[in-house]
Amino acid sequence: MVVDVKVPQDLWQDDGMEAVITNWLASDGASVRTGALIAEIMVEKSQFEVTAPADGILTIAKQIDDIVRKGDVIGQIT
Amino acid sequence: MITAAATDPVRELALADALAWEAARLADIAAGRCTFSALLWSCEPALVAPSRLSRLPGFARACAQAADVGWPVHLRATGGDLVPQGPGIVNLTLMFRGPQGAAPRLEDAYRRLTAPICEALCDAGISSCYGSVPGAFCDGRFNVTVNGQKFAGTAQRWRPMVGGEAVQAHALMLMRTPDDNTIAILNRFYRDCGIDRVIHAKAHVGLQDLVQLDGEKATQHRFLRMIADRAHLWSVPRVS
Repeated sequence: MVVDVKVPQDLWQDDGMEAVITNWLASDGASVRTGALIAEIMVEKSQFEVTAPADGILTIAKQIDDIVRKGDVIGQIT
Repeated sequence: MITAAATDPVRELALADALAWEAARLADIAAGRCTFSALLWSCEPALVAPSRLSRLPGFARACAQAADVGWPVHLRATGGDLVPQGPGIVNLTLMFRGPQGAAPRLEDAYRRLTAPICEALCDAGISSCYGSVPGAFCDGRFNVTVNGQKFAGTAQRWRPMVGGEAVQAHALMLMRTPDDNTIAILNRFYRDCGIDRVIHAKAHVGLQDLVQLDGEKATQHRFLRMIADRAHLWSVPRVS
């Protein structure tokens, strides 16, 4: 089973606003546990912590400094 | 232990202690140990950078140069950009749990954070609004501005928790307009990091330049007590 790691849909209102991935705290290929802090994204000077939605192996899809929008998939856990 | 004194709304803290207090309270909120915390604080002269800047090749050199002239550099957890700290600045930190059953949004958190500041300015006869200010340090859409100059800057950190989000919201308020030396330190830091950005002193305004000075300290004290009242600072349980 593959679980997407997504930028949350409802943390800000403006659909056109872009965020940037500022940090990955787990490496590509690392084993992660549900709820573990794995990434940070920033929008409007607000730093959001992204946690693992499932146990498994992380595959990173978007890199540090990549621009993302609400709902974008930034990684997957298998 | 850091607590709000009975009468003085502002705690004088070492910057490292203030940052540690923020980290601990955010953890408390996220763990459900408390639902709200607030602090007005001030600290020694220093620069505070978001952690992403530490990846820049010139960062270590920029930190060393700044520390050599009395501005040690600390990293913080909230977003944004480089800011100065020091005696002319007072910070308001609010920690709270995002509303359950409704989507918490960063815009709402910024309004909750800045409402006490804007109300206190209004009580002092000063009209304020939100907006970006070109040339201001750590510029952003949710600056509190007066006559087009930056009076307060804002930033946040959000942490998922069971049933919602833990929110750390921070405002940096200028009691004094930054002097040329402070601006030069910021610009030097950017140059040393290889960042093409220039900060201008005239983009900022401090409280002392906005109010009739019937005693600078008394005016500042009244203003900050208003913010403390409106931010419900006095109702915050004393926590270590």
